[in-house]
Amino acid sequence: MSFALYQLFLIGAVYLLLLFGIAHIAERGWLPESLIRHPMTYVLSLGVYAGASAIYGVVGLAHNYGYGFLTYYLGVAGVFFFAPLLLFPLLRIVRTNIHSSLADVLTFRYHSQWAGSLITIFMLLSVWPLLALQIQAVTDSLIILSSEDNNLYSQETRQFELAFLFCIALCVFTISFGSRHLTVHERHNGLVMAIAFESLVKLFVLLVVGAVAVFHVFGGFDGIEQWLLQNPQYISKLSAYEFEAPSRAMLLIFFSAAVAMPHMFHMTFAESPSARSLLTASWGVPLFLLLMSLPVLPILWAGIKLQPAIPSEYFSLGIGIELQSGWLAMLVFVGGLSAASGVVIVTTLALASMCLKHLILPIYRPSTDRDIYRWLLWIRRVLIVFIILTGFVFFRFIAGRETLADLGIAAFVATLQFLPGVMAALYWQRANRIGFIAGLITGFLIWFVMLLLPIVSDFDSLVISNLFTSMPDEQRWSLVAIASLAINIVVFVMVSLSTPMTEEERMAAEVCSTDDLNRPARRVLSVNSPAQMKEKLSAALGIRMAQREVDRALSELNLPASEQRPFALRRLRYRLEANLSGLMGPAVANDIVNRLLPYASDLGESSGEDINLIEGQLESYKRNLTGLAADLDNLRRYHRQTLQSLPVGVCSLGRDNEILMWNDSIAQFTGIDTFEVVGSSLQDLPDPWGNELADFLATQERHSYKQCVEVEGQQFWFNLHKTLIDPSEPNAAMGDTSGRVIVLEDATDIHLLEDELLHSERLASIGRLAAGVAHEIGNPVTGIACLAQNLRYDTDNPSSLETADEILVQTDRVSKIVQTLVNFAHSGKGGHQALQSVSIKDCVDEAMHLLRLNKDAKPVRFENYCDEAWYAYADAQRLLQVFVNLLSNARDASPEDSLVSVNCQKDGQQLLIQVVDRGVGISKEHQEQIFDPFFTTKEPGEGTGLGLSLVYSIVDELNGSISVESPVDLEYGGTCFSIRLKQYERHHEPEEDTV
Amino acid sequence: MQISSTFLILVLVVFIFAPSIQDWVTQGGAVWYRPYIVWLIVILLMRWGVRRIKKRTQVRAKEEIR
Repeated sequence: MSFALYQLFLIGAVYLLLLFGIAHIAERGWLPESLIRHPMTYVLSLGVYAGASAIYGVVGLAHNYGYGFLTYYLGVAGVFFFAPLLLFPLLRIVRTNIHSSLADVLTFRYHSQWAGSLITIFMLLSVWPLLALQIQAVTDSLIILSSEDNNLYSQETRQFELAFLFCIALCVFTISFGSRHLTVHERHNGLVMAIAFESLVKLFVLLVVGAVAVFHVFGGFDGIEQWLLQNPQYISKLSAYEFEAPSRAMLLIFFSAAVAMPHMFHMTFAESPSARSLLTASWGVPLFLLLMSLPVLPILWAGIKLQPAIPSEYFSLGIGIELQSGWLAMLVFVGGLSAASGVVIVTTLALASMCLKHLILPIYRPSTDRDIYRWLLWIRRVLIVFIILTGFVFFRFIAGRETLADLGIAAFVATLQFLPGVMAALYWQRANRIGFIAGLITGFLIWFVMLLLPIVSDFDSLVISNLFTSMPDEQRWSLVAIASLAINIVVFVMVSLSTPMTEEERMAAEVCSTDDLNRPARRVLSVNSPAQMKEKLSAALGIRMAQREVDRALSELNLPASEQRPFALRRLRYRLEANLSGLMGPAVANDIVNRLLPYASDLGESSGEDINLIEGQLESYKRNLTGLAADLDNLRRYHRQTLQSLPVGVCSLGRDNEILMWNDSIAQFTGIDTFEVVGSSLQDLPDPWGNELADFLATQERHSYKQCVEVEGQQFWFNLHKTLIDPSEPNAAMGDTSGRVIVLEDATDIHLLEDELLHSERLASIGRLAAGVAHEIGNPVTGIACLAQNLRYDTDNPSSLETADEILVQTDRVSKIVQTLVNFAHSGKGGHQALQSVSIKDCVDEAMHLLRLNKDAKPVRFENYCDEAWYAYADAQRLLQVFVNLLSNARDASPEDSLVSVNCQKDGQQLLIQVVDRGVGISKEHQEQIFDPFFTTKEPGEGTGLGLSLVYSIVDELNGSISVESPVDLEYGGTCFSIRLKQYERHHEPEEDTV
Repeated sequence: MQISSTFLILVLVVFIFAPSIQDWVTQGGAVWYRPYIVWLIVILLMRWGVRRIKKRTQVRAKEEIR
């Protein structure tokens, strides 16, 4: 059975077009985001690991190493089983710093561009055999399906042209969906969906072939069992002793492949939608791999039984051929094409990004005149084409001298050399770049000489290995793998321990360490606004890119463009560096940011740690804290909350007067929100707080009482206290301290109470004065009145009589004034007067009656609306005095014939009595003074200004209160005096109460 | 470096029982699928563990919202 080449080409082209279609609709957003971001989609996309080897090569592995073939799956499954050890810490670093490749992570950790460049070069070398493997698998399957004699591995039959076309199609696909636009986060929806679909196809194909092998070739599971019992040599070969050493080596290299292979790293971390998805992948990926591996042994045994004239690697294809089943053979071809294309696309994409960031940009940076985004995009596209075509050239060069398994093992052993660097990045803070580079070069040299050189040349590495081992030739690679890794580790450790680490490296090691948080120093930047950042960055990025990157970082951090707080600017700087790292690599980004946005040199490291940033990290990390760490964190939160909720204002400051804490009370006192102010400089606080607190801080005094602060025209009084956070510091006395605390107490209420007390004292003095004056004036006035009476009796002269009458009128007036003064002076001192039930209605009636007697007064209409039922605890005479005064004032203020009314209602345990007029009303400023003694708005001689003072005193004496409201009505004006008095309940016996 | 004590115990158990499990798996004769049984059990255990972690995380998140 054979197919025509054009048929295979057409089927391959249709399949690749289908992939284009899926990627396109996902990229366009025509597929729901929930499907694209679904954890199972992510799990399937991780199936990219299963390349052409999973369809073809792994059957050869099972043939050669028995159960050892399972390590191809178990190695990677192990990494996902132990995700908390390796994958989660790496994901944390990748996400925090926006890395997209292993080279990014290790460049960041070892703080060395050399490390990144070396990793990229070695990765390129490692990937060539892998790419060649994929291309070879596709072209070999083409040959097997199209030729009658199955003549493999010859230059004559190999379809180089079709292989080239396959490579070109992959170039187009990779550029279309992996490099269409430049993003900081290397996530490509189209690519993820296409790879997930490919994984489904691979799984389906293998399960179908497995099912055919079991049910068609053997007639069911019983048939397999029977066949195995008849051929026990295949059972015993599964677990042969001689396979143990290579199996262990394979487990190690496939374990490291999960993080070291560029396509696996890319799909696991760069395309990861969330940490929760990785959690699902920790069982989902092993399950996918289990299903992929399940049909392998039945396929192998079916191949042995059918005895096709092809190597065991292609048994999955051979079953269809031997059974003369065209559709099955074609299905396997599509599965192989699917697996190969997935690996090539993702590997190339990841590697192109690495080459751009770690080989091109460190050497050449584009001019700021051009559009850097476009330049980066084009360079990446060129690199994609370059990598795929060099893979093709490598495939053409080796010309089928190696089996798929040999090529795969060569590639995987190469990436094994990155494992020590990765593990040390997470778990060994003492590891340094010199050690890493030394170990990496050593391991790679061994790999290059022992595994790559024999592939690309006639060099026979057995000459060397014969010196150390007598293992069979085909298993020598396992010795090379173990030896290269061991020597790599030894050199790495020895050199790291014997060479120093830089400060930057030490900090990066802390950040990457799994049990450590980033503890950046709190340093002041040389720029003080996002606008200045744009200006500075434009020197390296061009104006457009600088603006776009700063705006993007501001938006991601939810910061305004006017932001000036040092804390916020530092965060902005970190974010900018991370975003630029995503575009240009960590070393280039670090170089640009350090050069253009440096810290102010005079402050150095001495400003202390960035407590707010550490707290933010702890908050986001708290779910991972367990045991003692969680308890300590709870304690921290408790103390933090205590400080935050204190009823006095607390503001803690760093050495450079940066505000580190601003609790709720101080936020309430000042009206400045905590979020707005934390991280800013004390001097940048809005007036008057900035100057007020800075002045206090500058004084030698530790306490300052009753500082008056005027906010929006209103005065407030505060007590200020300050102290050192750590008085035990060596230079604390000199002011050289890591921080200070300012405590701010609101003393406004106390101050107002004191003022009121002073006012009362003043009133009391006036009362005493009035009593004295009344006493001193009363006697002479009485004498004058007597003399005037005498004069009236002693003379008949009309002129003298008139004079005497006038004297009597005036002395009467003086007497009344004196009497009022005496009344005022005595008010508040009537402690022995008994309170009794007083009918409000009767009292008001009597007051109105008295006022109506004065016929000369202005005519007004008095109305008493009080109910007879309301009684108050009061003194009838004094309450009458209150109403007379209020009604009299109301009459004076009202126009003729207007209404002056009194009403009464119950308000809780009190009676609310309101005296309302329709007069001119009282202005706001006068309302505050009307109860002051001697305050009057009447003409001189018409009022003493003591009436309302007297009313206030009497009501206060009766345990009541009085207030004024004016105007009562916006249209008619008027004034309403409201008096509240304790209500007398008539069903009780009257109580005797004294005041 | 902080490693969960549960994980350390798991590693210890695997280390102790690995030879026995390997013997049992590889000496299955015609029952060639024994490794897959062990593999599947581990996957189910992982799935159970992950569900527990997710539930615990959800409960904590709800408590924080409250």
